[in-house]
Amino acid sequence: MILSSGFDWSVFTPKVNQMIVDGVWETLYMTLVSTLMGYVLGLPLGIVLAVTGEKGIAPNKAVYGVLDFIVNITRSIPFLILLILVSPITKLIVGKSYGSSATVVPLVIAAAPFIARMVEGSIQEVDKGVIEAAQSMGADNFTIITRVLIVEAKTSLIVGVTIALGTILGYSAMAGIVGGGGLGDIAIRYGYYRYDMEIMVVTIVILVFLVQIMQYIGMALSKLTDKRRIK
Amino acid sequence: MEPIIHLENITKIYNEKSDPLKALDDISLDIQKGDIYGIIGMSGAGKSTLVRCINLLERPTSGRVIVRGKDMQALSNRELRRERTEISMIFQHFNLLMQKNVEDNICFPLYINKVKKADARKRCAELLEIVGLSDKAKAYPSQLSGGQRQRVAIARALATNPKILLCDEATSALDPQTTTSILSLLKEINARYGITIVIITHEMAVVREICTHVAIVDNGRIVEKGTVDDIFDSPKTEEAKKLVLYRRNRDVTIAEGGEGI
Repeated sequence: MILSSGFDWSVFTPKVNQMIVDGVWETLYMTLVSTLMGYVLGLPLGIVLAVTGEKGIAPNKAVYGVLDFIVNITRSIPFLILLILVSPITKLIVGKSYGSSATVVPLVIAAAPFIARMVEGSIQEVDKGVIEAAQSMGADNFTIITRVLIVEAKTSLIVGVTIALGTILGYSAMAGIVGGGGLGDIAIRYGYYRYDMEIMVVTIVILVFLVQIMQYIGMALSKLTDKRRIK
Repeated sequence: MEPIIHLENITKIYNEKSDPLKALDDISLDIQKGDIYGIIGMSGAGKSTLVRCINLLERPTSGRVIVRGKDMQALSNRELRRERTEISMIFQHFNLLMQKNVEDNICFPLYINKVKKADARKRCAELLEIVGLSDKAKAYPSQLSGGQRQRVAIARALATNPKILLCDEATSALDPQTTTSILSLLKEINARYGITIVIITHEMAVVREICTHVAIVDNGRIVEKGTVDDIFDSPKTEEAKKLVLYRRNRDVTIAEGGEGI
């Protein structure tokens, strides 16, 4: 135990250290690639949800209904189950179902609907008056989306990216259970299977640190780009 | 002369199926080119809905909207958007893009009409001159006062050289002094460019200050309309009397150093 026997640094051989460094890179790789691809799918999806929703600029019950249903279904499957559920697809795309590249597939599938919901929320927050003003000037819906909604929701969207990064990083660690690679994998293999508390604690500290950094950068960026406040 | 805005038997009913609410009830109104037409009424009277029927931000349930000789309801979406560049609008809460600076806000209607950036910037400088904010091109709306924000909104509204300017409670969020300066700017714009102005307000002082004509709206109906002079001299209906006399009394109170409302 950590408390009774003290922290045994001797387990951190060069080999273990290298493994942890690799783990950090793998975690960052999974998180960043999945978030990016999650946004490639989730951003348009979220915009369509916001636009076709009841209070959107082009309400469409059919489109909204279908997308809303799909998003809800995906959102309600626990990530660990999803991970196993989509492993045939993962194998098809990546060629194997373990390792960090393979983990990206379920991560994207889990992240996209989650991101879509956050984007939908950010867009819905945009002042209706500004949208009305754009309409009164003769703007079409595409212009309103690109030049009003996304622009005015910018700060909230950046906060969303920050939240997405943290959540996806957490999911990526969960994938360690099935050999997903990264720090989560290390924590589970050494901490859970081998009761190697030192390695587990260090990986957890690094995970917390990574989330904190992402959080800090994201929040600073959103504040920096927000023109609504007088500086 | 053919009116520039012709509203014919406009009725607007919200929630027709479930819980119908009649916002506008058989409203007919003619506004001539160059008029400054006030539409006054208590809040909830339906005047905001009425003004939005002119540019079809609200579609009337029944009735006809003819603007500049065009049957607005018969236009395609594209034609309607084109026509809206001739009918600008300013709002109570200014409705500026808060994440964009003054210049980008004013250029917005130009950009959406595919005007080249350099030309838009040039037009923006002219407009800033007109509204007296030449030094604020790079400022953000959050750095401006309410009156300055409304000036930016007016500059934005004028960018496309519209023929009509709709003002929805444009001075209601401003203090009396700023209200006066915005109203004189509107008056000047009307005189200089011959832009027809429609002003929605609940303040009689606004009507008296700049309007040539006024319609009094109550409960979704027009109860009285005519020139400002006529209505102020001899209000015929109860509602008109109430508005005119109420204002007179209040003005007297203010003049005597009382508390007003």
